[in-house]
Amino acid sequence: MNRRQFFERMGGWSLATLLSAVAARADDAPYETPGFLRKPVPGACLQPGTDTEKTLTAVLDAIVPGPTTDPEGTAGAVEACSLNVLLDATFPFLHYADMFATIIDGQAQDLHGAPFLQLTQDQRVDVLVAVQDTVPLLRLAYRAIRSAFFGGAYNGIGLDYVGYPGPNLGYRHVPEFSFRAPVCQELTADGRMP
Amino acid sequence: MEAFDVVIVGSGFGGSIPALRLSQAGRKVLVLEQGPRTTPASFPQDWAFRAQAKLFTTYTSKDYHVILRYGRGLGGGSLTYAAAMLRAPSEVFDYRDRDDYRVWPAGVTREVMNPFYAKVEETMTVERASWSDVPRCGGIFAMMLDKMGKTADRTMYPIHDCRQCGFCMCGCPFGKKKHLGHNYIPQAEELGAQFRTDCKVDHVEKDGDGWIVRYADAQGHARGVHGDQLIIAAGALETPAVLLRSKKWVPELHPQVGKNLNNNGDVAFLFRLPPSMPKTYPYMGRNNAGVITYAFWQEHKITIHPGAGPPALVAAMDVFSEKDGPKVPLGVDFKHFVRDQYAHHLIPALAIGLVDGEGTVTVNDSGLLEFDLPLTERLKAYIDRVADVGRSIAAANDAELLRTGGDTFEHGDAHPLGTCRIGDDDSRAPCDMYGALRGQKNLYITDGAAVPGGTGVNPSLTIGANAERIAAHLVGEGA
Repeated sequence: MNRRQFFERMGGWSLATLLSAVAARADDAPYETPGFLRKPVPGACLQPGTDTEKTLTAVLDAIVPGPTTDPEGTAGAVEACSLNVLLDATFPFLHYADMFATIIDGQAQDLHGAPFLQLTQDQRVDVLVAVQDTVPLLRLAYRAIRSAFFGGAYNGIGLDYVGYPGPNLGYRHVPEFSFRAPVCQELTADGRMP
Repeated sequence: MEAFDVVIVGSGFGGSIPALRLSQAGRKVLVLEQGPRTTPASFPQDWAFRAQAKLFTTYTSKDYHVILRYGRGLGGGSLTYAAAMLRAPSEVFDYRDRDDYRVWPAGVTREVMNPFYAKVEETMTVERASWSDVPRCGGIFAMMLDKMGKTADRTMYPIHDCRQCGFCMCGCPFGKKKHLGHNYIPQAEELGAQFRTDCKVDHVEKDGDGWIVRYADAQGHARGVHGDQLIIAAGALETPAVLLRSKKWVPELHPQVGKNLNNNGDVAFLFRLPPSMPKTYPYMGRNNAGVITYAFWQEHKITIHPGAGPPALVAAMDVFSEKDGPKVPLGVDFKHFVRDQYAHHLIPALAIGLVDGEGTVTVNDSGLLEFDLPLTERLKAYIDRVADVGRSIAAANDAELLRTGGDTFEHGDAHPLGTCRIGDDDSRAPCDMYGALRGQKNLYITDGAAVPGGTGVNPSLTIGANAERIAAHLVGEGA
């Protein structure tokens, strides 16, 4: 390839890239949807004050461990403001907060002879697994706590942690999005089973 | 009191479709919807509960093991469905339950349903996805089947020019996924049908041969409206609840109302792929990930489709490994597992199959809806069959099946059916084959509650086609 051919090819490539970028922008433009194409804005984290809230904060940390309990030191449910899930009036758990803490502490005493706050991370997980069979609502609370972290309910910490980009304008132009070709035999001709 | 020829409770498939057809026949129609009108801006790309709560009403079973939800808003479940619209295979209509009872009426077969399927497909503009529309995790799922010598078919959707943002089930913010607000509802409104939103129906009362519907309007004021005919299409959970709350005024209510709750055989699970396989990027693309396999239908009466799913949903499930992954969805192992696996090595999947409806919807003393969906031995055996099929796919691809659910039962949460089912047997089915509630005059059920059993695939098209069939009967077109 001579110098002229090189620049022609580069020029062509650049033009094609530019055109496709413009095409993508033009395609995206009619669908500007300001207000939700962004990651969650960090809101106010409820802070633990009472003994119940301190116990529940330790519960959060056992479910999705944070800097002090995850050996890798990354943020967890507490940093993702997940205490909000248990104490926010929009969720069904608020009225059960004291009951949760009491029962979890009781289970901790039964299993390991100490309050929940004094247990190791592994012991705390033991307690939480055991107690969910006694109080099935806790199973739901665990799910809500995990979902709040990994779903970015209060901030984007969990989204970034798993590499989930979250809100977006669509991936159809992203090369990795699809194989864009048949990859398997199909059973039906028209997509309808007889 | 205001009076209409027909009052319809609910604006999902079961409500909006009869609303159009009855309006076309010249009837004066009122539809009451408990949720609001929406625009694309009503659908934030947000999986957080507070955003979801605006789009869904969510219920948990009495034992908190199962979560079921239904769509709120004009258009009902169509606002937030994943939009796979597939015809139920013929065998669905022949299904017999544990008592050898044929759950679908003998007069309702696939052949009978075909013209009504076609009507919904045409009105909703359903078309088959192209391979370019199949997201990567759907493509990889298809490749896994191909490696086994099995098939996977591209799915049918009312989605056009999809942006593939991965938020179908939050509602489409780009207006690409067609819901009832794009077709049936505006067509009905043009013909004079009224759709009132933010109206919560409490109960219904007999009024001669007609009905009075008692509801709270958008301002919370108690209202009543008369309908010569009443159609209840508030979803498989709320439809029986409305009727059960009405017992005082409808004392001879059919005893099977609220019984036979069917989960459509939904079982969620995941495939964990080896690092040697292509990366899955399960957040890219439509939530129903483009393909479905019918390869196991003949033998097991199970279909499986992959789902492009956000980590909020994946992590909310009680995922556990049968091999070397996390045993409980708590703690450091699970946190690291989601991070290490989610974006590149997981394919969420949903199996759908034929099971008996063994759940129940009730209302408590306060009139609030409750439901039970017990993990019966039959359901356990079915789930084990699903797991066996899943393991066979995984094994052929050096992958691992990850099961879900506290007791290996993670319900798909979106497809409740059967709580006021149609059927031939007066004692087993509250409704006759045309959705008429037995023992009552001029009261019809046309939604998922009327669909008597599992559909083998995502049920929205069958719910819609059944509503078209009943509507045709109501306007005297036969069927």
